[in-house]
Amino acid sequence: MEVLVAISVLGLLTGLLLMIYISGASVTRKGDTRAEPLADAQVALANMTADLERAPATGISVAADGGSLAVLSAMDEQGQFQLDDQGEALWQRWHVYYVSNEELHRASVNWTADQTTRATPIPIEGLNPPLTIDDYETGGRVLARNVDNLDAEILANGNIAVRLELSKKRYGRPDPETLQLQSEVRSRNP
Amino acid sequence: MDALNQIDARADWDVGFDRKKLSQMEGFYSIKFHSGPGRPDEDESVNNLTGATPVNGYRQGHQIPPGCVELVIIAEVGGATRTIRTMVGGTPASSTMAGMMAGGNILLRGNVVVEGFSTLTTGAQAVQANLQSNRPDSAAGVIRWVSANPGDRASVSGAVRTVSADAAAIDFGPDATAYQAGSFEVGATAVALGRVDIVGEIGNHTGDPAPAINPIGTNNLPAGACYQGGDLVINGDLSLDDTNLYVDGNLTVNGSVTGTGSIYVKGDTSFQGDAAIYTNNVKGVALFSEGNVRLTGLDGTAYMDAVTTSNPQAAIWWQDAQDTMQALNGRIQTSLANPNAKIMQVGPQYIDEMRQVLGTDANANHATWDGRTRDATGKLQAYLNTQPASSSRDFMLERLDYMQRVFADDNNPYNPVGVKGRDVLKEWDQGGDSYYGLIDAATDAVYGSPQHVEQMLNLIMRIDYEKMGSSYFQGTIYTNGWFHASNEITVVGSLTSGGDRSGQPTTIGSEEIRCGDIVLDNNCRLTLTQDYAPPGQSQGSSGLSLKSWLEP
Repeated sequence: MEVLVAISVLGLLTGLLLMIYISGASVTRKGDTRAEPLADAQVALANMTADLERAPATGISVAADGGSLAVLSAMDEQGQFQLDDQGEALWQRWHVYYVSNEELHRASVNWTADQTTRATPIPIEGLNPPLTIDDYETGGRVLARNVDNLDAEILANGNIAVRLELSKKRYGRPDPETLQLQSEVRSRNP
Repeated sequence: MDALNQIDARADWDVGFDRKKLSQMEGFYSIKFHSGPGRPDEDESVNNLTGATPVNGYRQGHQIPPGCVELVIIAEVGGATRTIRTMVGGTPASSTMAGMMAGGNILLRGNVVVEGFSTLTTGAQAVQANLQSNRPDSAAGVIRWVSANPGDRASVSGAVRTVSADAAAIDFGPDATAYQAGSFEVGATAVALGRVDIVGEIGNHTGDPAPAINPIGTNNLPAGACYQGGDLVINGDLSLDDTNLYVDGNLTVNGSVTGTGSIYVKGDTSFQGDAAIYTNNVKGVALFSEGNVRLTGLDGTAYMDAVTTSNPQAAIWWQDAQDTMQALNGRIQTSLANPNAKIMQVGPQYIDEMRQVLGTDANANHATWDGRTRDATGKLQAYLNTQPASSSRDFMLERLDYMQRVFADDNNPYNPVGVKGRDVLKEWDQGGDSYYGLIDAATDAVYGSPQHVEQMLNLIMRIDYEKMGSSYFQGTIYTNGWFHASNEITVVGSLTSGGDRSGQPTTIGSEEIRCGDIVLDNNCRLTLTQDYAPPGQSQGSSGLSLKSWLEP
């Protein structure tokens, strides 16, 4: 009889421990699952907001559905901010941010006009031939994966709001882990 | 903005800030400027605003163009540190602010000083004060300086500019050692004179009440607007207290115009300088005269020289007072160059011993500076009271009394019983100066403060030791006619004569003057302060702007 009771108690305790383990492992997996895309997305968002802050307001365009944006940049291939002999920005290229196949991309579109023309910022739609941002959504560097959606908006106060939605499937669970990152930034350059 | 203000006031500013408190949130920011040879560090700012060629930035290929400042601002908020790198350029207010602007000619005669300070209150810095004539046609002598006596000198801290491209448009005489200026430019760009519709402004106020005027004696006009139909003549001083006075005729004040407010005059304006200067008055009087403006001093120095010639003892007192003021100004200049110098303490090299000469001290045991006459100004006052009454005598008595207010002991018998240093400073802070002993109170260990000391240093520097008989006008003068000042007038503020030399000339002495001309005759001085910016050059206006935002 005592043996039977002991086995029962042992079984209960083992079951309890197993539950605790499974629960802890689930939390750990959930954290692991979120951490990787979160880190990538944070870096991507930081790059994007830095680009936006260094851009002129007239050099920023957002697609009609908010799913992509083009940001004029004075950074050259070596990452050096280019200036003219007056100390004013010499614009080099647009960075086009868009999402494709759950990847956030940054494509570069060089501005090949002469230096005098490039002293005055324009939106990417001002290039000849005139195209929309969507037309430039090709290639580029992958900044982050597991990105479902990019949502950008130019607010009434002139600030630019950017939101990234991410998701990643977790082992053993049918529904993916989701998270959002958002930022609001003001372009600083004249 | 703090950094831009500093650069505005002084184009070559490279002092920086070390963990200065942020104004709108908890935190600090720092700016450190590169100095010496070599490439700057990544966190160092570079001021190349006055440079002629590009200078190296913190990394290969990065340069700071001439006329630009790369400002690297390190901000610390909470535990986070953020670096902001910007390129700022343009023309600082200090290099464009014209103390004297004329549509016509400018004539300076005798000892003339044109200088500039960012403010009369605390934090004052020397700034350039320019002379500008917008007269466009080719003519010789558009801006002239003429020596009246051997040894006369002209000093202009900023540029002397004329739009006229004639090579002889600027004429300071053959002796180049007798004058100095920041630069001389013919063919300069015209500066907007901020033309004021004076007649229209007066027409908008015909319904305002008439001012209550005593034809003789001081008139203190209260706050608010008042309209005088026809000429206004005051045989005494006119003091404004945030008053807007509209005169639909000529304004003649046989005394000084002081206080705060504005005066619009449809016709001509004439008035005299004041014996005192108020460094706690950052508003001043804005005078807008459609007709000509005559500002006359009383030539107090010449009067004192004359009345002391016949009395050797009085001549010594007069000389001692002038020498002490000269030494005191020198000490202050030295202390400005060496911020660690403590000139307000007791001792032979400090102000206290000089105060014994320039004012009445309650303790007669204190040593006097250089063994000079104790209370020389008080003795001169007593001597002048024995002289025949005259406007010059009254002016100098007022002037010497003002020096007593500045330099005397705050416990001296002039003050009412019970008045202490704290009362003296309280009154000063409120814009008054009826009590004696300003400097004594400012340096008091209990009542005084560094801000008060700085204000007093500013005050002393404005008292011209070479011309202790100078009189003052504080504020902005704008005329669509001509402007003429004579006899040791110091204008603390700015002068604009917006006319275009049309109409008939007026002859004063041997000179023909037309509207748009400015004449400073007989040892006049202009101290431009940005507190009293001329019309069209609003206070604190800056030509500096953000050229580019580099980081982040």
